[in-house]
Amino acid sequence: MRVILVNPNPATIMTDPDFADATYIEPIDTKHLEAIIAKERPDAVLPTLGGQTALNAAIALDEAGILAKYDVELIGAKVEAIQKGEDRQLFKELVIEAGADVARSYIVHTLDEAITAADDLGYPLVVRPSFTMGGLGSGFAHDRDELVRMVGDGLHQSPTTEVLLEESILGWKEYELELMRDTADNTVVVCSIENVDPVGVHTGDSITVAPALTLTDREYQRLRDIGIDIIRAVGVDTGGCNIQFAIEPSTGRVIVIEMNPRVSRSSALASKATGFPIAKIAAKLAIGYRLDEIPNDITKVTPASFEPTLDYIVVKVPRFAFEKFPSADATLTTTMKSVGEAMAIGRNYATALQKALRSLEKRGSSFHWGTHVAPKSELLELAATPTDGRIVTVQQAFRAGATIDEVYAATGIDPWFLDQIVLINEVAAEIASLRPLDEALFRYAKDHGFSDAQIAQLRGLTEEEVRNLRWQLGVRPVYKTVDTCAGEFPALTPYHYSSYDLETEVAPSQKRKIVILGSGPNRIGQGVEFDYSCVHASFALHDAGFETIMINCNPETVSTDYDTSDRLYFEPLTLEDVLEVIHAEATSGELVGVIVQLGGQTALGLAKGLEAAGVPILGTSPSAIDLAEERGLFSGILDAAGLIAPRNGTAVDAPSAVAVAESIGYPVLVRPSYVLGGRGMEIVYDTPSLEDYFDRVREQAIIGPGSPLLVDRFLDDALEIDVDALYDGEQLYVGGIMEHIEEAGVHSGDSSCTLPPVTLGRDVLDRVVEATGRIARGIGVNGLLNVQFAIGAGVLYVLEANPRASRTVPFVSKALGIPLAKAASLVMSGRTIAELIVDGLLPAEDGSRVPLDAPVSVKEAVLPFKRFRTREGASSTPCWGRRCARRARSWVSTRTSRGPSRRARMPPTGAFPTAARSSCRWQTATSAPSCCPCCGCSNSASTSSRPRARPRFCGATASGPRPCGSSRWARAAARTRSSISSTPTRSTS
Amino acid sequence: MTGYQETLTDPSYAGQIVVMTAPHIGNTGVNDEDPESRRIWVSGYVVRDPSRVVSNFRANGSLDDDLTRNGVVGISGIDTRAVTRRLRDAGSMRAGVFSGADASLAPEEQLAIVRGAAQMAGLNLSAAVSVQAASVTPARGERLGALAVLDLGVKQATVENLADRGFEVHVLPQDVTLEQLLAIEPVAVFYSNGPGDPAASDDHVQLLRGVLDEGLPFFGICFGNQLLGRALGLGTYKLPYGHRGINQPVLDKATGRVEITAHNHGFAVDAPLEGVIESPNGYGRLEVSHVGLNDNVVEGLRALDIPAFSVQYHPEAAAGPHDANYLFDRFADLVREHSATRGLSSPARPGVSKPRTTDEESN
Repeated sequence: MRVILVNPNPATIMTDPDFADATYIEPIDTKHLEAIIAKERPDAVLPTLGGQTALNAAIALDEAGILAKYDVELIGAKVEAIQKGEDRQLFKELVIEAGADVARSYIVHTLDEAITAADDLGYPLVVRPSFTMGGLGSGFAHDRDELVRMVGDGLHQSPTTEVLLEESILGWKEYELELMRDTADNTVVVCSIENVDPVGVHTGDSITVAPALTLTDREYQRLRDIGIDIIRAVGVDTGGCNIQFAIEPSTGRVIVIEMNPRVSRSSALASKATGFPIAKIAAKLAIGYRLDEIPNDITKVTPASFEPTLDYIVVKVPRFAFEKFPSADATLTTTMKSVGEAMAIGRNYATALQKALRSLEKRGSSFHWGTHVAPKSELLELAATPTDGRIVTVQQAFRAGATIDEVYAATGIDPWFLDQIVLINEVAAEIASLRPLDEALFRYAKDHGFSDAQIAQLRGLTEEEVRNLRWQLGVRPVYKTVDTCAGEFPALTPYHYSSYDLETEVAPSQKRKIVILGSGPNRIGQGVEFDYSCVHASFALHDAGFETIMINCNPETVSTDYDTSDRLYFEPLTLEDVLEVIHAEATSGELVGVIVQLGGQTALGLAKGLEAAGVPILGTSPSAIDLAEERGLFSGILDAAGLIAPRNGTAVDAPSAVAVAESIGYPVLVRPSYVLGGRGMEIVYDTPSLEDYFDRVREQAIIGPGSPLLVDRFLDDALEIDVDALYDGEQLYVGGIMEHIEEAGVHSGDSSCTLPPVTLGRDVLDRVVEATGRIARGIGVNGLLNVQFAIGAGVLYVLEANPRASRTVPFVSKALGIPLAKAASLVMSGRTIAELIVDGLLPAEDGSRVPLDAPVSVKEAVLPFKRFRTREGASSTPCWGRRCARRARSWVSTRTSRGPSRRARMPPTGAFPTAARSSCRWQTATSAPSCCPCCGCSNSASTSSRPRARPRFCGATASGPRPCGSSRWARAAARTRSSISSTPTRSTS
Repeated sequence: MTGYQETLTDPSYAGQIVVMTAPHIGNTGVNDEDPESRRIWVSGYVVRDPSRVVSNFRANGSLDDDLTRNGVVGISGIDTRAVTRRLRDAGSMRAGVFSGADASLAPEEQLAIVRGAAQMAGLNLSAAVSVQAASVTPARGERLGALAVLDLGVKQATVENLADRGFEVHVLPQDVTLEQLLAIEPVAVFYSNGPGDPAASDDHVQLLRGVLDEGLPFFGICFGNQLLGRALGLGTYKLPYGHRGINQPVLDKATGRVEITAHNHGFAVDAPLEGVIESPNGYGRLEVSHVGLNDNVVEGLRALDIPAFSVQYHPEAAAGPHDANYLFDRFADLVREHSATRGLSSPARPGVSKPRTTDEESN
């Protein structure tokens, strides 16, 4: 079978050339899809695996008559079924036909209709636009003003200008079922998922648990029956389907909230939670296999026509990024706002929850027992509004003396889940008591998920002291297996999680092992690009004969597919959890070392601790990593290499920062050491703003003597260059040189760039390559290196060097066909670049000199501003600064440079605030004059390029964000005219 | 992962210690609607994390109190997965839960006590679980007639399902004689699930042969399936890996459909999966109707020349998915068809009268 893939996302594994017979890096819209269909003449199109984007594209293809024209069959779900699932009215009728209930509702197409409907339903009520993904534009309207704003917005977001208004079921219990159906009408429920946060918080933003824990069998089977009736009635021919239910806690009344006739975000979670690969099996079902004809991947001997049973608990917690969008309303609603998630597996809920919370790698996200406890009333009031970190507020409320009834009244979280937090507090009290910290107490603490760090806090010890004591007592975790069948059949797939039970299931192995640390939950600044590198390393090292061991806690990744690595440990990426896995593996075979430079800052941050514990680090040594990170040391390297950085200094507090800034001159770029994605990074124009900056970041505690603030002179009229390279101690191999299209000051993750550079002369490129080589030697890189340069007035400045995989590795790898991450992992395992060239893994010519006729690739960021509304409903500041605010990116490659950027700007779905993007540029929120209405711009003009009104955006009525007419933008546009259009382009016009 | 109350009150678990693989048990407490019989039958209960609170709108008690009231010992904090893996590899085995003074006995002494207990193989437990006196549940909807249900450990959900199909359900003690059974003038006979070794239940097999000789329609589930197998002349054997839980895929050979079903059996019928064979006991042709897909074990039998069929699993599914519920309809249809045929041959006294007469003569 010939498989043709269409996806413009460079950061994914799937767009690697090895994964499909043909891969089209093209926008997923009717025009481009038709061209591809005309060229490839496929027999069928499978739209149920690519989320709402793909489903909407399939409907559009059908409506445009393209499927009929080329005689292409839609497999997985028919258009009719898609419409039944998505069209609110059709779905409602069908649910009632299936004998189930739905919330009372009205479909409206105008504001007037909405107001009339609301009079009947009463407030609060739910607003849901039809055919949008991730609950975009949906939420609760508590009064008429909110209703008018939300419906106006929703009508705009919905491709069918249709909005559903619904009776409020706020506070009900929320459940999801993941179902699969085959051509013979065999249907199985793969997983039940229960939302800890009751209805009102989008399931993507909710803490969720699998399996459901507060249903009797009678109630669960009722949901199952309804689910099966619905999947049949909708006519999902084959594949996965997700159905969401609400249950009224005091009566058990069941309401069907919605169904998605496709593989969804929850399906990915359910797959990792159960070991049942939903997407993979959905693809097989779509081409006609039956469930009983497909073997269960994990047991190999039993068929896929079964329902997984779990002898463990899975908890998913969302990761938010409200610190990146200071003006955004942090209240959680039915519009998804999280940017990533962490999943954890434990033998009980308390363990899984605590592991998941520490997997978030976010300060304050874990339960804590500090001396200060806020008053109960304050905590209860705080907990009443769902926000990031509410679960910790709940835990603190119990510490402050709240009862389960009080917290239940405030939050609507099921008493069973609340009691588990009470239990955790009770265990904490026991740990903090005068009882000796012996084996029994350790096991009691560990069986409730307490980390060494938490025990240390409770006992007034250091984490290291606790760990040493624990090891002396022989208290170590064992590793259980995710096997789909609760131990009923032997599992052949080593997919493990830790527990402090009796028996371990880690099998001994004769192979030499390499551990790869993943990148943890997706967040702004650290997304799947890092996972891409980890996966490539795993493939390459496996092929080279090593046993690869992946540790990660992000269910949205390929690295946590159980068949990516030889062994998978679904564990938090903390020093404790990683050391334990390494111990388990080292005692069951020969451990060569650990790779830390591919998993972004998460993995890199563990390097020192691992080395101190005697774990061999493969590739660039932790002390060399320090050379690059530590400002003073890095200056020394630059001096020795005859290179210059913008004038700079370091500071540990506001007064010293002001002194540095005044000596090097404003504007300055400030950023804390050891952070990724530009967290806490800002451009500051004067002393009051600098002091204000310190006030704002104080709570994050990212600046201190151990991690000083870096203060650089900001080059406000320079061009940025990014280099990804490989160094083996002797030879430099350039992966690619990218030229940013925006001026320096826009974070590299948010900027668009071209590869090869289009305005840089050969002499400049030669200087860049030469400088990269010197830096690699100076640091002592072994593996990957990313260097950011700036060119201003002919002077080459080194902005920063990162001896690790960068965000651009996948883009470079795909654009030039150089498997950078694979090569890097082999270099770390001891191979040389020269050998890899001889082996044919690396092309003989590196990426430093791309032929003149080579294709030009352009990468463009996809930005989520419209999800981050202020409390008043305006989009949060779509201004570009040093902080990376992107979530995804699209990419286009072509032989001319004018075309690609236009296409790269065509987002895969929905409407992006591109007008703002083109005009706001490198302005920042700190103190520079803001440039659009939503951040208080005074100099704005209406743009005529947005054909459709966008009601209520920024409180204005006419259009979206407006260009501020900055003169610098004019210059930037002129200078980069060869690669981007100066007129904003939109896909929905 | 749900359904502990149903499991505990399922008579099939009589005399057994049950280990739950799901770690959290007791979260939804207990209620009056979900018990499958009049009491808890398990001898011991092993869980990892018993719930400290009850959270469900239907609950009116806690599991802990219910176990105490029934005098059943439970044990928690166990690595239940490790136990499960032992049971998977070694098969079901005798075990003990020691509490009170016995808890401090030396492991060797405890082991000796366990080894001194009776083995499940060869054990007839029907008398222990069966009702002592007959009881009747009225038919609901269109009445099909009286149904004789031999209580080998019948569950409430089974009785409800049968009554819903129009049967007047007579639950009879397991030691009922054929004469007593026929005295209720049944339109059909049903054998329930239950504990024990089918090889040790000769009396029930004899009774069933009498029923089949009468020409009465028959449906059996679980233990009843094994007994039909024996009545037809087939053997039974102890499975290396018993089937437990509510997620077992079974293929209905007639439709090619896979149903997800609830199982609880450590024994199975020995018959060829494909093709039609002759009943060694002279009941004509028969075939395997359902197959367990995990390990290709016989999960259902159908006689082709007499109105009798059975399944090894639990169409009443309490706890469990309702995929196999259609089997009760199939039974009702079989009885309806059979009555109609009989009705044609004997218009004056449709139903059961004629075959019964025949049988009385033959016995």
